[in-house]
Amino acid sequence: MKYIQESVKAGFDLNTTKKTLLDNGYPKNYIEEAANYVTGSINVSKRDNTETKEIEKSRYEDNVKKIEYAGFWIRLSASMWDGIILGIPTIAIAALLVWITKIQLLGSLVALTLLIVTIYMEGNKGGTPGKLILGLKIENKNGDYIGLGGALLRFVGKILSEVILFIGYLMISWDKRKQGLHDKIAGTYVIKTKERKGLFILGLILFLIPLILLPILVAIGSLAYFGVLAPSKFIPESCTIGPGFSCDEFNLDSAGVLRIVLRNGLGENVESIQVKVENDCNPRLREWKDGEAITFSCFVTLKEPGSVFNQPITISYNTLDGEPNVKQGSIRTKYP
Amino acid sequence: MDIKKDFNKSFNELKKNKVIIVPILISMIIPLLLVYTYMHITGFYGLLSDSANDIRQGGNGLVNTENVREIFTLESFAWLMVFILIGSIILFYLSCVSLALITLNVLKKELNFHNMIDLANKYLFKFLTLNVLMFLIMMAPVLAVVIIIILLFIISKTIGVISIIFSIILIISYIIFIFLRLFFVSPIMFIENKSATKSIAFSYQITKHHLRQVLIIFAIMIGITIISNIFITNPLNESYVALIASDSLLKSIAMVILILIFIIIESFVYALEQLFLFYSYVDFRREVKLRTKD
Repeated sequence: MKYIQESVKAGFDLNTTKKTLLDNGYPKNYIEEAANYVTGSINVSKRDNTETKEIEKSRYEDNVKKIEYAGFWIRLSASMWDGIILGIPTIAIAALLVWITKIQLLGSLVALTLLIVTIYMEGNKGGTPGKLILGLKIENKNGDYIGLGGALLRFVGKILSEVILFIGYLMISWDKRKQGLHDKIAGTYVIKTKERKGLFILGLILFLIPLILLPILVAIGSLAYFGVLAPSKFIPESCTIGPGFSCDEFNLDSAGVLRIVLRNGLGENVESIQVKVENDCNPRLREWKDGEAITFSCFVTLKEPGSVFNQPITISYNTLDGEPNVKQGSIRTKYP
Repeated sequence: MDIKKDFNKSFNELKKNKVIIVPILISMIIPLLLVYTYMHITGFYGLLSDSANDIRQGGNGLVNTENVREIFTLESFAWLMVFILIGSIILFYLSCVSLALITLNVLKKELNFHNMIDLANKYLFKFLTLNVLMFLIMMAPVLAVVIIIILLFIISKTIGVISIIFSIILIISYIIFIFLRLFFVSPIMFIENKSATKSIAFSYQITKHHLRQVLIIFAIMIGITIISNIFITNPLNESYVALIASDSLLKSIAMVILILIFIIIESFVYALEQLFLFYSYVDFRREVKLRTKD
């Protein structure tokens, strides 16, 4: 509006001015409204002062009604984009600087710089990057940028909005002009200048994903902590040995005795058998017939109940012609 | 009342007259110099450095109690008292000077050294009296309540415990109420040129029926303080310790520069807070006057 006003005053044609604005990406309806307002103001400026003020007031109120204010969700989406565009690089830079220099204060300096950038952008550019990419603009009641002072006051207002349990932000959703507490304090409005539905929805999704995942992770963590979903419950029990022997059954009791039922499937009898799991197991056999199942007992060191017992199992034996052999496998269960 | 206008005015005035932050800046640097000097005179600096080195080498940072006993003598205690006294006098005078500068700005008078010192000297004892009176007004009832609680405890433990709960609520309510009613005492004294007692009485009088506006101004000042604490004061406090623990000259120089940057920003924030208080008082006063006329 200011641009049209100044162009007309400087003697430029209104239509050319409108076209220039259109070429620069301003929405048509917005330009038309501003042009109507400006031409109206110029025409009525010749009338007497009181009448002019009244007309301007009603015209302004009309314009206010036409302006589309940015609501809660689009502003939430903009905050998400701010987090991505400003927040993540800031954290990365701060962490890097602190890591390299070992000076913690540099991290705070980066945070302070972010604060200054935010205030500068809100005051002089009409919004943070998140707001700008979603086509939102922060303005005062005259439609101008809010300036550094206004932006600083708005930031102070944001702190107050947060102190009262974020109710100051929630106010946006029910306020007629979509003003949060911070907007009311600073006398600012957030309006839509462009429609950017794709980015708006993407921002919301990016916001909602952690919001949905977080309670799920917390629930899983809590269940795991209280033992309902203890990781050990999901550990598969197994007992595998190389070809020739099979592990029919096994059991580790609270006294630290592991009982394993092993079967000779070599297709021949064997001699001088020794089974070992952590320590040597009993009995120590002289002969083990083909197909025969024998229960071995091994003493193992007990650990925290529910934790994983995972040990190698070794079977040493001699064939009937005296040749020594070793078969290895593993046994996996839980400590009782 | 147009809070936004008052805030913008304060901000713009501060941008135009950066000299306002100078006394505040000095009042922030002087305590650092005093603490540094005291620690060097008494030997505490070495003790803290040893502790910091111990932490750096994986220790718990606990200093030898023998060393502490050696350093914390009657002489070091006397030095401490001297430094506290010097610091308090300088800081009090500087706070009076900074308020004088703000007053000159609000009253649209020329901000120069001569005017500033004249005004500060003029208000020095009034301001001291005001602070003493404010302390008494805030603390005297609290002290009375504490004495009553002790007496009640002597009579009966149960009554004593119950009275503690009630008195905590009572004291908090009283402090909040009296703080809000006497919120404008400093601007009244400096702008209206009133004595300490009259400033208190006047603040109490004009804030009657207008506590909502006072609360808004107070909330905004609290907001500024919170931002300042998060982004400036807390990192600054941590950095003082980090400076003592610094293991290289280059790092120490970098730390000093960073600390100075933070102190300048903090001075700016504090000056903005004070300017906002003064400008919002002027606005508040005008509105109260208008309402009285209506």
